[in-house]
Amino acid sequence: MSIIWSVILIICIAFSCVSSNPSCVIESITNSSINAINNIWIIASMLIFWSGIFNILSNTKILSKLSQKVYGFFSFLFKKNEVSKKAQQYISLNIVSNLLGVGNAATINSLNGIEELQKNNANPQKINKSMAMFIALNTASMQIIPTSMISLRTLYNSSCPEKIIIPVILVSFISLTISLISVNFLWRFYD
Amino acid sequence: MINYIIPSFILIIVLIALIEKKNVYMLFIDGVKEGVKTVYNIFPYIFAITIISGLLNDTNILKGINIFGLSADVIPLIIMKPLSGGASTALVVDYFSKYGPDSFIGLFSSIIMASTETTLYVISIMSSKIKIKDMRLPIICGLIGDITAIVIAIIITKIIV
Repeated sequence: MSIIWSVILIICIAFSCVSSNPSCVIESITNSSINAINNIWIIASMLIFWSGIFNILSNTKILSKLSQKVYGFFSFLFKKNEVSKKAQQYISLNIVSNLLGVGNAATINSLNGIEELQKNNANPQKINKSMAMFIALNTASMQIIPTSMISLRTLYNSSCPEKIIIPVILVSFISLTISLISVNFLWRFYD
Repeated sequence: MINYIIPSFILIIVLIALIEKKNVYMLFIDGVKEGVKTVYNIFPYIFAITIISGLLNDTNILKGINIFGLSADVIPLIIMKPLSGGASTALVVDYFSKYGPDSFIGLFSSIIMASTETTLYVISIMSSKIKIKDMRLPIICGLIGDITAIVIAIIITKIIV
């Protein structure tokens, strides 16, 4: 992140000096700072509301009940001997919170889940296949209803903020499938 | 019909919590506190990213770059999304206020934002937890997924816009 940020900054400033327009740099920085302050109010308003609602959801029993059933659907991705009972719980909670778009809960469960998988790992220096699959599940998006994006679109007066739901489900599903297939395929070269 | 999804989602959550006899109000307040913390934490990233995205735009450095028929504006998003959620949200807010959420760029960036994850960020925090450094396989597979998402999103956006 640091490299990307610095490289872009350096290239932009160098470019504007070379193209003999150095005054636009400070002008641009001033405008961007004002923009950033204005934007944070818009982002904050939506983020804080959803954070409150999802905190209610993540404290209900429904969330933990659903999670037990979920692991059954996804168990084909994992090797039985690599996944403990506790890991199963975290994995399903992670999947449920990802599906519902509860970002914070998903993050916590992904960390707990990978730690449990590591406890059962035969070679602790290397990830095993179940861990690779679990990471792939987390690097792809699984959210069913892209709530935060829809509310952001509503804020900016979209004529149809929900238009993205079906495309998002389609794109997420295809890209998730492709990354899981590539874990499966590339695993033989890694192991 | 589709307009009812989100209001009813909120309604159902509150109803379930009430049936389970939870203190809905305090749970909401706790969530809001977390939300305020999150906003406080992401603001510096949003600020930093708005500065460089502003520079990228105002110096016209990306003008003329054209990949897969995409305008140069969305390239910063494609570069940023795997790294930082806050940063890419800032970029999308920028696109929305410039082009509107129903333009090609608005729709494409909405779809990319909602259908991909912050791949490199996720992998780096997960690997820090288990202290395994060799993450080549997850990184390659995650990025293959991201590239797939970008290609499919372009095709779909061209159809629905």
